[in-house]
Amino acid sequence: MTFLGRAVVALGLPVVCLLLWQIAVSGQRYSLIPPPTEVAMQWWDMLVGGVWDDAYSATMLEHAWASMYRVFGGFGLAAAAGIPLGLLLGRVDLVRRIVDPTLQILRPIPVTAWLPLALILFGIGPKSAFFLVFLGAFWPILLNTVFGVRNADPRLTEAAAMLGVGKTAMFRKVVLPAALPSIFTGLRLSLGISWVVIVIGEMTGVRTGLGAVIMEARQLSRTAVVLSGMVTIGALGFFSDYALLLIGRRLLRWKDGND
Amino acid sequence: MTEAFLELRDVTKSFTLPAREVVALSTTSLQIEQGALVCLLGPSGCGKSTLLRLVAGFEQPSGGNIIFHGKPISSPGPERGMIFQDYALFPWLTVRQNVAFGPRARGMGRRSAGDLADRYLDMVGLNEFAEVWPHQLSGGMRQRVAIARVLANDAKLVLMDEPFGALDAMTRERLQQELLTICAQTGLTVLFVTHSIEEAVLLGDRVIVMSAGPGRVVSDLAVSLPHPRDPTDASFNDIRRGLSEALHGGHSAAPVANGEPQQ
Ligand SMILES: Nc1ncnc2c1ncn2[C@@H]1O[C@H](COP(=O)(O)OP(=O)(O)OP(=O)(O)O)[C@@H](O)[C@H]1O
Ligand SMILES: [Mg+2]
Repeated sequence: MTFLGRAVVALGLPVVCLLLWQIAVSGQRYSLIPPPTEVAMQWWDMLVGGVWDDAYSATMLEHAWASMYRVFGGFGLAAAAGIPLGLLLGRVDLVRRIVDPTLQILRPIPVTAWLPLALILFGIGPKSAFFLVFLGAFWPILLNTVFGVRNADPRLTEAAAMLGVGKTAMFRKVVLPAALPSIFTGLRLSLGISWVVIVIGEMTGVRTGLGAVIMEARQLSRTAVVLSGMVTIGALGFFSDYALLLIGRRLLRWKDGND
Repeated sequence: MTEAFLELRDVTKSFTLPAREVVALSTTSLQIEQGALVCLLGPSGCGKSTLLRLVAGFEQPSGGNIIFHGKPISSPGPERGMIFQDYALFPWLTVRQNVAFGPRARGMGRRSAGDLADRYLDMVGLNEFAEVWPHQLSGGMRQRVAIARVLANDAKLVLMDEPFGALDAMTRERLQQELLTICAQTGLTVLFVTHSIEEAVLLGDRVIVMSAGPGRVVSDLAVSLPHPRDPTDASFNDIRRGLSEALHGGHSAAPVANGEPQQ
């Protein structure tokens, strides 16, 4: 199928949903949920202004940047900590025996449960959001990296040893590339979770960020603003995932089904 | 007496499982001369793979010694190349990079390792596929790459564990012929595990039969039929029958005489 054909097929369902939404809410004298046309207008006003010219006009970019900064910052930090730690845990038994029990106890605690503690530790503000994103993104990266290392095919290690690769080079030449697909799975999962967590994180009283906008607008009953924030998060989440997917495809182009 | 190329002296191997001890290979002694293609034949579970893995250095013997070129084997090394039934190519490297992997790992420059790889890819008829990923190749082609990879790494002894077992009959026949050609060209020593009597007689300068687990050698037969060998030939069938008896009879301990008069 051509790119255009695929796009048309993919857009069919959302268009139908929007139509149904429009039909459901229009014609009622008083609706709590605004029609999609009004949301679109609100979204446009928040992006460039010139429609309502109120407190929300032309603020979208500022909020989006704030959220993206926290998402990618927390996510990047989680990757920077999770991948090396995962490699160590997967490879060195001693490290695993020391660290693993602690991690297993910490892991089941949901990110939301950390929120009060985050506020005490980092105060109300962007640092808490940053910290929560980091926590949420850390686990999938760590676990998938460990999994990738531990599941590296022993046949390939044997083949490399037989070809003359020593113990120290084995990690770089075999274990790491063998674990790469799994590491990428972890990264994609984590990025998705980061966008979930950021909204919670920004509901802790920061003034900027898409989560903050949604919370504030809810209190003011500006439902169109809430929906505009949601649409933006959806779009940013989609595009950041797609970017990561493209990077993964490039790095893992040797994999069956990636070409 | 000259020193054997590869010698197993009273080698045993057992694995300790949580519940019990598994004897994978009971006391086995063997000598392999240089330049021979030796086939190892035996029922499933008799320890053929174990023997090969011991010689490769992936496992250490529980008892006895394995001497290669006058030195005991302590770890895997490039002079003993293994061909696995499931190919074990590195999926993240192209065909050329796979073949160049060994020389690169041992310090050869990228350019010369690539040239070397191309030479061996030529030998196995895959020069057009140098830039392709392994998953894009058929099974037979993958096994050719694995053979080129071991040859490019200067292996003196090639260990093959049912290398053609997963291939269709036609591909298998072609690879068998190619292996014979390569052996004739390079004077390679090959230890070839198979459970097909026909394959053993078709390829081997010598066929060693092991008994059902725990394995030991029950028959050691030199095959002196000229190549190319014809499986429909009467003398071929005599040897095949003799091996079949050794294999199924279990303990026809006396070494079987040559199936055919020497040339
Ligand atoms: N790592 C291991 N741990 C425990 N037992 C093992 C191990 N490797 C092999 N064995 C046992 O040793 C015996 C011989 O195994 P081996 O794989 O050498 O047989 P084989 O002759 O190659 O059989 P096949 O023809 O089916 O490949 C088997 O009983 C097997 O279960
Ligand atoms: Mg086997």
